Amino acid sequence: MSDAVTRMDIVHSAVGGGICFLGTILLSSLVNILIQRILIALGILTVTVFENFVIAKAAISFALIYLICGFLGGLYTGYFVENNLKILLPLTGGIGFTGFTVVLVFYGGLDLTVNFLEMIILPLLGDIIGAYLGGYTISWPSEGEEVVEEEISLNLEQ
Amino acid sequence: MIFLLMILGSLLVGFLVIYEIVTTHSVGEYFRLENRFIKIDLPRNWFVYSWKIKNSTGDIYNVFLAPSDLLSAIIFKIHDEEATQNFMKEYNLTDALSVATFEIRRVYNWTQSKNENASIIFEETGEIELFKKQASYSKIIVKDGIETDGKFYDMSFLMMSYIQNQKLVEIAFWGKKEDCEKMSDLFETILNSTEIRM
Repeated sequence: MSDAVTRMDIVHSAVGGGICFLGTILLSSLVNILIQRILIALGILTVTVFENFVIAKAAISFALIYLICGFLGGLYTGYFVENNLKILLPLTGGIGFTGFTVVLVFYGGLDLTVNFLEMIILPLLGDIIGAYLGGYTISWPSEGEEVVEEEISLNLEQ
Repeated sequence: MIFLLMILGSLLVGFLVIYEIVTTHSVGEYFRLENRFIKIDLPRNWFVYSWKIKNSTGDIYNVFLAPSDLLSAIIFKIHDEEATQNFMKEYNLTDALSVATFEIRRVYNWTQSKNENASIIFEETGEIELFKKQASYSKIIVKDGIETDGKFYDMSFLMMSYIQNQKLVEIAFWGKKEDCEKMSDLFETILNSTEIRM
């Protein structure tokens, strides 16, 4: 089993990153609508105006967008790549994060200096942690465990 | 398992923060927004946004409020001295009344750009006491001035403004005429609870 990162490994990792990116695009709008609907149903939509709501939204987005999308990208990468997951899974999460951030900056007019925690730290962490968890969920035995074969003998004479 | 725990943990943090906001800012049936620009009691289930425009021509603090079930909105614009000076100079305005009239004209032009057949059917201008200060106001009804679901409705637009210590405060209340009428008592309640801090 070779430890070198092959071109196909990087391609699979990039595809995993693409899945993470597309998932983030889709889920981010769905989660925003979901949060709004929940707040309307609870009769407290006005809470969005308070400064602390940014923290609440960041925590919910971390859970429902970045962790899940990183996990999905990681599942793909972990399924197709056997070696060097420690290097390739962060790459998957990083590609997903970079793609989404680029879209937000160029099409959403995002100011990265203002929303540093909400738009940089948590998404990057979420995507990378999610990718690790997804990747090792699907290919745990290949790196995490060694198969030990032992001969078991049964002595019936005693 | 770790994955699920992380998701549940983050969701818990998010909803705990929301709970903290609710308990901290509740004042009777309202939420109180209080900062160095404004103190205002907000209805609990409205779309509310506040933002600050900060540039070389001064600072403007804005609060936008709209109910989730009616087609109407309220906006507060609080200018600092520099922003007031630049705004008045740019549009050649002299006092609070000219500001109100200017904004009315601007909104009417905007409605005409959306619907050429829009026309003013009612207009009222005068002075009113607002936050214990003398403010100017101007009100119009624009026939077919607002569009929703492909249909045009009459639009009501009320503009109030005053200048104190060379700082301009603008308050606009507009929307579908029927919805504005339904909201007028609430608008008054919100105004009575408001304190401008400039």
